[in-house]
Amino acid sequence: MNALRRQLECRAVRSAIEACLDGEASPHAGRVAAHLERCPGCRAWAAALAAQARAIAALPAEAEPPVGFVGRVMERIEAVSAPAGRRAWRPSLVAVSGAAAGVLAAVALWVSFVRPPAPVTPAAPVPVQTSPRIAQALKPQVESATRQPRIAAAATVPEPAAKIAPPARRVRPKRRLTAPPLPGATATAASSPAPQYRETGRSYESEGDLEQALAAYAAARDEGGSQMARLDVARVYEKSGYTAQALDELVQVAFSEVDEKRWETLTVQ
Amino acid sequence: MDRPADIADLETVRRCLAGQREAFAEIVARHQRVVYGVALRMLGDRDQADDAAQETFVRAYSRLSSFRGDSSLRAWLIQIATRMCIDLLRARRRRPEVALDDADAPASPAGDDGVTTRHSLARAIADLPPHYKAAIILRHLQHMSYADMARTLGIPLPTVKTHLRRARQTLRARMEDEAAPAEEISP
Repeated sequence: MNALRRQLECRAVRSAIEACLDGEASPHAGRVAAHLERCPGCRAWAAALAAQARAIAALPAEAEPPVGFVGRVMERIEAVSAPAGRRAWRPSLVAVSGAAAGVLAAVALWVSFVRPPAPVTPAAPVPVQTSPRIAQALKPQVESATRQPRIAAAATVPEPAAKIAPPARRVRPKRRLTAPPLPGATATAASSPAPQYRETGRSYESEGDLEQALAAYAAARDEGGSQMARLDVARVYEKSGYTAQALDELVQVAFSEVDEKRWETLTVQ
Repeated sequence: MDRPADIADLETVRRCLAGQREAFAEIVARHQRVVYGVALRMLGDRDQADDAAQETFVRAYSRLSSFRGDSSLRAWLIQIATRMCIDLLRARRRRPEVALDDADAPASPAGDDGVTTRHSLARAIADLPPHYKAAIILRHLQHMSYADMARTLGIPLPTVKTHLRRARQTLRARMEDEAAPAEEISP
């Protein structure tokens, strides 16, 4: 029983030691000092923790970015702010030609297989404001704009040669996302893009593209989406086999419901 | 928020919001090293870090009107950069292929052993899961308090403590694993 009590005390004290070493005020400072005096195990543990903290702190916190960094950032900002047609920054030729080929292929498929009742206008390319590599991973709106017709075509059986009235098809909403307002611009009815990101995520998820779904849901969560967005992220993690990350998201949803003060009283032993 | 640098930042932000776009270049120049440093430590790749750091500033510019000055501009930029890097790491599901060589590291009083240990430690940090890595970087390299970390990462304070504890445990285990074979070989 004594051993168990000592173990519990060590555990509680080590938590307080971490807080003290991190510079956080602890109401248990006196208790910690008394415990350290009589417990060599915790003394060694505290010394190791302090040494680890010193070693990490010795790593460089800052780094010199590549030459011309400020200029490149300002060029991109200029491009974002400039009216369409005189953008200073342009995507690479490969990206443009790839996107254009995708749109053309999608339109061709749409026209040859789907034959919508109304004239089809392909989704306009989204102005590239994000670094292509970042956009690819986080905000898949460019790809989704080109994928939309292809997906619709794949889900629809090609018509037979005989003229049969096409069944009414559900029109999918556009997934183009709007850029946030720029500083200095006149205030508009700015709404959170989170629901659109969630919509995009659901679409990817239903297609089985979990990686893109996760990126879209994560964007929804970070754009101030509801806890539902976080649950979406958790679900996709779980589907992908990342149980620990899924639990992490679920725990955060749960914690957000718990009064922090009450939680503190629960954790302090 | 009363440091001279913070006051200068607020003044620059005010000029940007008044329409002086070029004033934002001052902000980029002032904070580029810390933002790039965080991105590099998080992503472990210079090209990706360059992209992420640029994106951080572009996003910061587009959201500048939402900066309320509750925290410093530096902390706000770190928040944008960290969250973006976490999402990048999660979305790409990949760890850095190349561990940082820490060529920019300040001279250490330790000898070769110290350099080796530093490289091992940098590699071990690079291998941590995104949220644990962010916790270590924000606490030990950016010297943030638990409350600031919670705000930066958008997670509850108890979760910050849990992430830090688990990150430290993982780091310690990895460092011990690395040290163990060397000890066995030595006579």
